[in-house]
Amino acid sequence: MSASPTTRSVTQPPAWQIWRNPIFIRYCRSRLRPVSFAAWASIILVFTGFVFFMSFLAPQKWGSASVEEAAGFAFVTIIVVQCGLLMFKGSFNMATGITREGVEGILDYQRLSPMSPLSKALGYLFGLPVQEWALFALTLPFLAYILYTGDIPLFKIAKVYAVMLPAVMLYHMTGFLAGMVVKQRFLAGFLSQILMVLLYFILPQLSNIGYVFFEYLTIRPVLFDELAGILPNWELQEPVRFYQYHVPVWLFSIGMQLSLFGIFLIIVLRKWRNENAHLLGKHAAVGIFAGGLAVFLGTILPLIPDGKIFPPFMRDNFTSAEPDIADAVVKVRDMIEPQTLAMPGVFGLFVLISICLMVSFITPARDTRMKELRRMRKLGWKKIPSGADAATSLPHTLALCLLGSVAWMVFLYSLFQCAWFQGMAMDFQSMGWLLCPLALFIPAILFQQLLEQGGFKAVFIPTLYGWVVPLLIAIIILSIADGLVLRRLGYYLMAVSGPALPFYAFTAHMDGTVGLYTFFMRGAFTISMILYLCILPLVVQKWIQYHRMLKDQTHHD
Amino acid sequence: MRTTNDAKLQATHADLASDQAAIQLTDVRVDYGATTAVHGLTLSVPFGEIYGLIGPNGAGKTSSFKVLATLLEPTYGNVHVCGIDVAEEPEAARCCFGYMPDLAPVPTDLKCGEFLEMFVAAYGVPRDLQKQRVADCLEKVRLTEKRHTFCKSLSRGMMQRLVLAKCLLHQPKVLLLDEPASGLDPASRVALRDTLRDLARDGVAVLISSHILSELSELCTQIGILNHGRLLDSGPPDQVAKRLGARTHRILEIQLHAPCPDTFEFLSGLSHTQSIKAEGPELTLDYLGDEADQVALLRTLIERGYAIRSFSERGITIEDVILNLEEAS
Repeated sequence: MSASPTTRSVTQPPAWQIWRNPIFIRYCRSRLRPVSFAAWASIILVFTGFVFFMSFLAPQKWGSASVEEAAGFAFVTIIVVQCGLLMFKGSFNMATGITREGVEGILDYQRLSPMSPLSKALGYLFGLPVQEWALFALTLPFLAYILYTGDIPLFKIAKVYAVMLPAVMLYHMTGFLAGMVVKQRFLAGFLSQILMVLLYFILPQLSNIGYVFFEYLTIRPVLFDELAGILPNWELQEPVRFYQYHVPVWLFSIGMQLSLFGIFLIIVLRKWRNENAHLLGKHAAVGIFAGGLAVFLGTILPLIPDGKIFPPFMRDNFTSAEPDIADAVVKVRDMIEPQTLAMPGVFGLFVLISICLMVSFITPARDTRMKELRRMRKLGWKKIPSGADAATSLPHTLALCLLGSVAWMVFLYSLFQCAWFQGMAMDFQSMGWLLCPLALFIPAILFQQLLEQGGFKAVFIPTLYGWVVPLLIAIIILSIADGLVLRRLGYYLMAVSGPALPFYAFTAHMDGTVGLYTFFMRGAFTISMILYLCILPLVVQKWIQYHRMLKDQTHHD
Repeated sequence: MRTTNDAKLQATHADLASDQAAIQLTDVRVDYGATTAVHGLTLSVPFGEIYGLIGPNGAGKTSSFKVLATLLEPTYGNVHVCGIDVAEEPEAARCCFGYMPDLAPVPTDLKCGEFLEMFVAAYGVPRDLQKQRVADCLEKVRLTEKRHTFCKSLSRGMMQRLVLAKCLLHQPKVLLLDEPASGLDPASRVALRDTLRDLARDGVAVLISSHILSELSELCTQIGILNHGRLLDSGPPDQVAKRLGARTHRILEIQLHAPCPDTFEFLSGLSHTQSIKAEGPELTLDYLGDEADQVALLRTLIERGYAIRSFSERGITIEDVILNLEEAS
């Protein structure tokens, strides 16, 4: 047998030498052609010059701002211009550029070239938005002048940019992913912009109910923190409380952004290697989920003791006005009670949705499974490796549920131990610690089973009619019902819905809350569990038959 | 060492050429959901051969090419290029072949030279050889003067040639060309034919597809007829043609000066006539006779006093061939 061509050495520059990357060079050529670039450059120079004049020179000349204040304000406006340029225009071009390459078929040429997947990904990541990076460079002289005349400490600016640049790369990566998933050019660009708005404006709002880590995917916290001493009314941000540690805002922001960037990069590399590969490997999905929960708990748990987990209007009532937390507890207890009932349910629902999302990433389609079964036979394997895309996702679903349950229980425990619950007329039954996880396990396993056996089509109808419709009908009934019977029906009907189960599981095991309400919830949860425990074995049995059928079918091919 | 790259490639190619098929497909099946595009395809192409895969649209040619090019996973079957299992080692296999897809796309925002320079670097050709390699490939496809022209301003045929040049950049030992001649003018077709023959002489295996039989029969050393995903016949073109000839009825087109029902009746009564269709003065015969029979028929028609404007045999299209093969099987 001759030497295998796998042993041949192909001269490729290392992935980090981006300036030698053929894809990067290709985009430097096409996106920096003098005529087109000069047009954009003149627009950016005129616009930045105008912004510079209005925000730096004008306030000094006609207003009462000091040079330092004007410099701080001008710095913020120029950062906004840069962010608009790099994040919005750059991400849009990233998404549309990748889609165009895919639609035109050029991406297939790149897929076939022997560059490493990392080199290809980095080539596109830095190459497609190269024009925006060059335009960004044109704004830097204005910035340098502001920093010099305004005497803004360089290390403060360095921290802002240390957060902004990974954020830009994260958003470009978001555009990259949007471009790889969506096949229509402008739809991809539009999706990238929606994702930007979601990451930048919508998800950070969840910080108001304790999900603070979303806020650090933006540059706002670090910008406020670093300019606090320069601009009036800008408050110094507290360090991020992560378990018992206090992490500087800029460092935590970089950590969050690079982590998410890393996950996106893993997805892109997997898609480069094999277009049909799952977004995440099975083991990686479990690892990422565990990491996500650790970050989540790390940032939410420190907010519980002083009540900052509750919405801000509550926070203002007791932290700033009344430093004595015990008095505050008494004062706001009545207001907090409904929220304490909702908060664990919201957490449980968040975990359940995250599990289902991960399960949808790692569950093999029928064709994938069959191909791998044939490959297994061809290669003489006894079974499909557990981490392979084609392997069943049931064990990993169980692992995800276990991790989610642990996180949920840790959160519940911390909540019950905090000052807000001490002396309240409610308690959590010890059986709750065992039964609450069922509210994650049962819907997640059911979801996984249906998805694996029939794909998204098989999940859609049961989800719509089994989960969504009962939930909506129950909401209507509860909002219009006066009588006890109807209200009871509403509670029982809502318990059928998978997403409602975490709320029921938690409330059903509370003692001493609004008596009748708890009684309804407990009854509804019990009946719902009995119903699910009857359905689940049947679904699992069908799943076993499905796998036998696939084996037989591939055996006869 | 950087400069060893090309030498190693050449050496590996030489080793490979000596003892195994360049392309080997065994019992390959490709399914798209419930539709089977390729059904049990088995073929082998040695180094230095030009194998033509002929079939109508939807025959499974492009799917077969995509499987070979590692862009599509077969439902089952074994696919080897240069001895490498493309399902197990796709990245290694990709170094061995050049792939030109159907409707070969080119980037609209690059010049021809820039397009090739990107790929010559991507394929790891040493920097000192890159410029020369690009120039050589452009010359091979007769596009040297277009080096500084934007790809988008090329004609369809020129784009095809440019992509062919891209396929040649890393001097692959296997060329997979999916309908490379579609859109080419006659001169370019001749040039393509010459280029491929030169490459085959150098030991390169070429798998080429077309739906035009005559296009490949002159060029290929082997041909295969593909229809509905199945390989109906394969072998050297003359042998396949012989087999086809034995099973093939010819299509005769006779144009009379004016419509004449008498002629229709006369031709219908001949033993070699399988069927006959008349549209005004034009008659189309499904004729089983050979060339001598045709000569005799023409003589008879003239002797009987029919005014004949033209008498010709229509070239066999791929549809005719496939119809004949299906009927025979």
